[in-house]
Amino acid sequence: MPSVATILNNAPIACVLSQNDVDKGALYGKRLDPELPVKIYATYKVIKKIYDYSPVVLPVNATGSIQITAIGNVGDDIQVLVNDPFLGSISLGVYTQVSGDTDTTILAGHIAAELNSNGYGYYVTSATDTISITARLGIGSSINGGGRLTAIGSNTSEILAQALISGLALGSTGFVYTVTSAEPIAGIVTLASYTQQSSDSTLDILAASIMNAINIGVSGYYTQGVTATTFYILSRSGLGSSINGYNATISWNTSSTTSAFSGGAYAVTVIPHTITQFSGGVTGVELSTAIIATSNYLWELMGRYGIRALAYTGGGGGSVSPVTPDEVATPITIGSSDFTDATHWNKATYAGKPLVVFSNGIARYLTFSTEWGYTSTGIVILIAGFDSAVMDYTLVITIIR
Amino acid sequence: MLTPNFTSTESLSSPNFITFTDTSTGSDATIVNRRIYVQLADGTYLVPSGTSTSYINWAYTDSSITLNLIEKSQSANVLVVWSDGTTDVYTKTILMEWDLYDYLFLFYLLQVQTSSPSIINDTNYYGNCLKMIVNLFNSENATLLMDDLYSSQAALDKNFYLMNNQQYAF
Repeated sequence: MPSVATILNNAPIACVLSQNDVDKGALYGKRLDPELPVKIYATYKVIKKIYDYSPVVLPVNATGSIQITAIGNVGDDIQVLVNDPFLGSISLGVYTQVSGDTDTTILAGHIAAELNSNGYGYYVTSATDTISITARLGIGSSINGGGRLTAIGSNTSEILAQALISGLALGSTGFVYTVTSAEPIAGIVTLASYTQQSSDSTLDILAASIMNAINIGVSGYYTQGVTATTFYILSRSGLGSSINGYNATISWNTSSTTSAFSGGAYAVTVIPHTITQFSGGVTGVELSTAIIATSNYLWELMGRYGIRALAYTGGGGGSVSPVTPDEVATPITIGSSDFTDATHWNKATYAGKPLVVFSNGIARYLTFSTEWGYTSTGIVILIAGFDSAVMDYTLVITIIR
Repeated sequence: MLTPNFTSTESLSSPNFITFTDTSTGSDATIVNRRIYVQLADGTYLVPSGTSTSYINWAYTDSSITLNLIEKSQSANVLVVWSDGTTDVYTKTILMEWDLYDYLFLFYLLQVQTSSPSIINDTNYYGNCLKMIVNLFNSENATLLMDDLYSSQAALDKNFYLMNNQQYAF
């Protein structure tokens, strides 16, 4: 079924054409409803008035942007968050600056590429130092403004490396337990040197005493108990990830236990930026089902005169031509991958045919000339922002004849 | 110097509401208020419920005003007066027609017709539909082409009669 706009555009012509046939019928015998032109007009007149008060509003995806104001340092990062009106807070991705990010244009491009694989349908591009973020389909104006776009550093506090100490054994009074850390630059650093006391009568007590000795020491390391006899030694601040893989060791008498530090991470600074909030989103308004239903009724009423009228209004070749039967399968369902570029779909058997285009995504026929148009080889989608390369679309294209 | 003008629009969801919009061009710093007079074919003035004057005050700071004004399709001579507070400086009169009530009724009939196409065979049904459309055609032409308030309202009143007696007419 053609769109409401197409039906209403062709109804007045169908009215004339049907009247012509009525007039011919008067000469050669009554072959059709002589009131058909009146019925078409009466139906058209009412629907058109209501339709004109119910404009279809095409949805527009809001856009926001992030301008990279300076390159940070290698290792700095940026995590872009969106407070989506329906999904809640989502992360579009995290990008960590690398040595190749030598200016803001390169850095913005790399960030955009990372964010564009967000998986939520947000479309991210960059131009010079500015990253443009186009909101996903279907949320219209609901995302405009309101601080919904934010960017943070993914790790603004240092994460201390930790080594899990186990295997400690209870020695004898007077044993010296020496705790060391093999730091990457300073080398072996003694965290504590504890002499077992007579009161350290159990392993639990001894472990607690050693932990206390580390904690009250001046090394900057401290401990965190796991069980009574096992505990973490956390590295001093400032070492970040550099100490990962280096050992913490406790040795006593002729024994020792060793564990490698892991999980340390430097605090990073968020890449310098400024944010422009989402704006320009428009929530689409669909035609009421009543208008669609009554228009379809009008189309049925117009019958073959509606088809013939299409030739006058751009749906056909500009003149009333005989219909040539063909074997082309119609309708045809196409997806984004069927497009030859962002907006063009080509198919020889459909080229030059009067078509209607239905969009599954918005569940209605697209409006000819404003939302789609003919090309010599197929059709072109005219909707702003339509890009088959970045979004999944499903269209149903029907040859009408 | 102001070139006074205004328009009106109806609301599909609330056809009782009429919105007037000042579309004047130029400027006049002396203007401080506006009044709207809506005169019907019988000479009476239409005002929203609760209004004690024959006119409606339209604050000059508001470029448009929405009024709960009509209960059926109406044609009316609409006079807008631009005043400096003591003197009426500019006036503009336009014959306007608000006929959305009739179209909504016809659209309702069309929805019934869509689901039950054979209804057009009922006695008088289709003939009266067409009468309503012709009445609208006449009313609109009387307004737009002839500046004839009485003929315009008379055509709308014929439709109002059919709508009030729809159990017999449709």
